[in-house]
Amino acid sequence: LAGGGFAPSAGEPGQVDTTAAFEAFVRTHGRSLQRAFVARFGVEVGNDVAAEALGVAWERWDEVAEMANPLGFLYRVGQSRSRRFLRWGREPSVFPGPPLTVEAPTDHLDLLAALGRLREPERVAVLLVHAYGWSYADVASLLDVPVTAVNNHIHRGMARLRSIMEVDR
Amino acid sequence: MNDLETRLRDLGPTLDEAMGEAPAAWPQYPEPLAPIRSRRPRAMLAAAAVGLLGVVAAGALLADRSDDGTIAVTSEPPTSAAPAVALPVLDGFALVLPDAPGWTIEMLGRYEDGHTEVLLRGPDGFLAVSRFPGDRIDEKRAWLESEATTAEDGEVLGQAARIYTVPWGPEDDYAVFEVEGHLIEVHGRMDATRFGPVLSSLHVVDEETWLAALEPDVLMHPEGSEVPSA
Repeated sequence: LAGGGFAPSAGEPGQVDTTAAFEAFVRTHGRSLQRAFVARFGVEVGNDVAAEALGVAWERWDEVAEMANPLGFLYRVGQSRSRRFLRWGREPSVFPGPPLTVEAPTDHLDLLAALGRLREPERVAVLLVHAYGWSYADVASLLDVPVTAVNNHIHRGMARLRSIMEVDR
Repeated sequence: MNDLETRLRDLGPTLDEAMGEAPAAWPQYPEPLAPIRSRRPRAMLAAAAVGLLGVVAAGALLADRSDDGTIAVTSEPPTSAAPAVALPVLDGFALVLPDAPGWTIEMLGRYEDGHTEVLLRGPDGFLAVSRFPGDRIDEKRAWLESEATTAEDGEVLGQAARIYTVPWGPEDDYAVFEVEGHLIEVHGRMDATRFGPVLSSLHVVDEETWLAALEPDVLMHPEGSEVPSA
């Protein structure tokens, strides 16, 4: 997931290639970024934050295109920009948020509710690894933390999920 | 792969479906590197970006996965917080527990924004006892007053407190009060009928009792890295 290399090559016309490079970046990484923010903030706020982060990517494309870890940068950007979408700095919108709160298949409701009780880094790590197949290294790159920290998030998150779901049965 | 991992894997498409709105059209950028937010309302930007994401969803499904399709597993266990470092984390924060069997201390930490938190788990659910610095008291109170569906005066740990129900989910209740210039928040995630009795049973305990309630694998929150490691 890491790695930029989306900058247009030298000597090519700027606008067309810059737009094409940005669109290629979105095609490759956009959904990943959206999934990460939805895991972090829920569907409603996560979508807004993903859009905000991609807006920043476009504004600063000349820098982002050259970054070794553009997703990590944009994830941090999104976290700081998220404050405008949140009612309280420490309390993000409820995960999973609408429309899943009312429209999710019934066999997912208990799992979604349990995920909502996890701490945010745990939920992001658990969902990206187990729902979307990211490697621990990919998550570590996104969160800008050591792989051992991701391991902790996964271990704690899965243990807490099992505990919550057992309690709720 | 166990049942929980299977269920999480199956959840991915449901989340994707919820987050993906079909795009009306590919956004047209006015010129390279233009400050897009100055030219478009944020809502349009959001719609455009979400649209982009919707178009590429199928391709990204493949791009996200590891090359070999496996999930890496490292062998390092979580960092346990030995009792010797558990108390310094609290930095003088009152040692409190519900006066009921089965409550244990699952996690504790001191965070970059200056607040300290102890997360307890018991037969009724979860309870987070937090202490916030004085400069956040007004902000926190204002937010709770605006968001809560119910607010009433009460008493917690012998202190006059304000008790709130916040409708994020079915089980969020708060009690806040001030002690020595700090805001103490007790956040319950449990059946609403249980929050009151648990709140009433909170009491200050001695160090020995408190340490005995530490779960064997109690963890420091990662943001608590400023405290000494075990």
